[in-house]
Amino acid sequence: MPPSQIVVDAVSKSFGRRQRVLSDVSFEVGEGECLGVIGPNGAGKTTLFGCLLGLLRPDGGRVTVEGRAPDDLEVRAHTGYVPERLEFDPTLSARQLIALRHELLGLARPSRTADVEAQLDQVGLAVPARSRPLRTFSRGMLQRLGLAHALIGAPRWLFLDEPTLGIDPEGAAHLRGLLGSLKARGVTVIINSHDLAHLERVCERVVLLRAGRVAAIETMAGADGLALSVRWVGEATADLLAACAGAAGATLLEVEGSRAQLRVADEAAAARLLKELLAGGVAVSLVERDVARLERFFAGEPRA
Amino acid sequence: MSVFVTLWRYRVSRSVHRLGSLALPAFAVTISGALRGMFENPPDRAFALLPYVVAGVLASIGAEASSGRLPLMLTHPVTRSTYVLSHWAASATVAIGWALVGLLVEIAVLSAHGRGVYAPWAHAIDRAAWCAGLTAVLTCFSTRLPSWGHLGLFLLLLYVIGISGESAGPVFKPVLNLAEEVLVPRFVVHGTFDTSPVTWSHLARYVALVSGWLLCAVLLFRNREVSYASR
Repeated sequence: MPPSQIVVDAVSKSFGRRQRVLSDVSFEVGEGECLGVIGPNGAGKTTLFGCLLGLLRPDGGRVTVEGRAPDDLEVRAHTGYVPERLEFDPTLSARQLIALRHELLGLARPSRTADVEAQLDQVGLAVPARSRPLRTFSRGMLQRLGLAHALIGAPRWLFLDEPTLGIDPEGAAHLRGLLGSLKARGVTVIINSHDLAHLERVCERVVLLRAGRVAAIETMAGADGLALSVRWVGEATADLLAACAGAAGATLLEVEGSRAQLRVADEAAAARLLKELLAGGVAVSLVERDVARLERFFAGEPRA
Repeated sequence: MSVFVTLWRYRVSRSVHRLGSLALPAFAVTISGALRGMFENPPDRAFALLPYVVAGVLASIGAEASSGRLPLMLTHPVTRSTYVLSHWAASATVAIGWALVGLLVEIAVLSAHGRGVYAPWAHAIDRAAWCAGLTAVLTCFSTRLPSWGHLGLFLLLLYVIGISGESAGPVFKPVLNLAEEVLVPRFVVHGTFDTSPVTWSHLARYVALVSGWLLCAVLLFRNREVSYASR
């Protein structure tokens, strides 16, 4: 993992005397890393975000962003945030909203108009909608606008709270592409979401919160490579599958009926695995990325 | 400073944008007050300026918190004190704007009835000071109270002081007067500059009260936690 930029160290938070929301939460996020935060409702995800953004003060422990408090103005100047509840001033237009943030960030005035348009282009907000009052916006349009609002000024830390809520598949694909380019620029991203399939595709690691505690931290890609689900028709023994996997440099994780889960290093290794399986006489009917892995992780089932 | 100006400009423009609907009732109150001769003695009619103050604080901090816009606003590089003071400055600006417009209407109405207007500039300063003081109090209340709670608390306190004053004995009367002075900071031009230098203390007291309310607002807001989860 790259050097830690965001450090959450033994953070605890209660509301009132009895309602303990976070207990001894610790994890670190590296530069350019994309970290997902998942957990059932009431697990403390939003409260954790409040602490990460400096809106809530932990009762115990601390959060630092590059060694500074999260409410340090220098940190805030480089922080982008998309809240779950996209509550913007309904009388503003999209252009006015982004321009206001541009001004509050102290960015150069001469480039304001161009920067605002470029940002709205980046998130794919239609040009005719940009001058309309926000009260007329759909949830999907607000989501795109929220992203533009967070991205103006090229933030180094991006906090996304349910970023795929209410957006169409095209918007979700657009968001994935956008996150990919942000990570390539070294932007650190933390996403709180129930959209496990989305997290599985964009995150390097995922923190599972349960009852205010870190129940597990799962690595999604990188060192672990890709998890694949393979289906076939006819007969195929576990020994045969293991032999094919071994020849392709893959790892057989689980066999269940006519379905197996395997792990490969990358997409080239996945292609080699498919070739070995076919050569070994396995009548493969389907190979896909195992997008249900995070669901099993969330459900607390044994790791695949 | 640029952040302060940006927030002030944003709030003033948005308040004016939203408050067109309040213009009619504000004018109605002003004209009826003028016709009843209120113009000669405005500081004794606390409610006369309330429409303007309401106009000034429509975009209250509590309302912004209740609507869910506050967390996003506070993730900008804006200090809490800048946020509170810009809010007060914008609210006071809008309130003063409405009050001065109302004053012009009063002058026009009185002139139409053939009545002269003595020292209108002094009335303008009185009303501006009154608006700035009241918005400081309401801003302070709105740092902690949700939505329109600040107006509710203000009116309740005013009512309690008024009711208590009617039945208070000679011991409590000064205390209630003091409480009213604190709750509604006033500054009357004639009472300050037209007599002896000692009455300049009125100005000092007014400035101290408004500063005190604003300091209190900043301190309260700095300790406030903001989260969707805690709403």
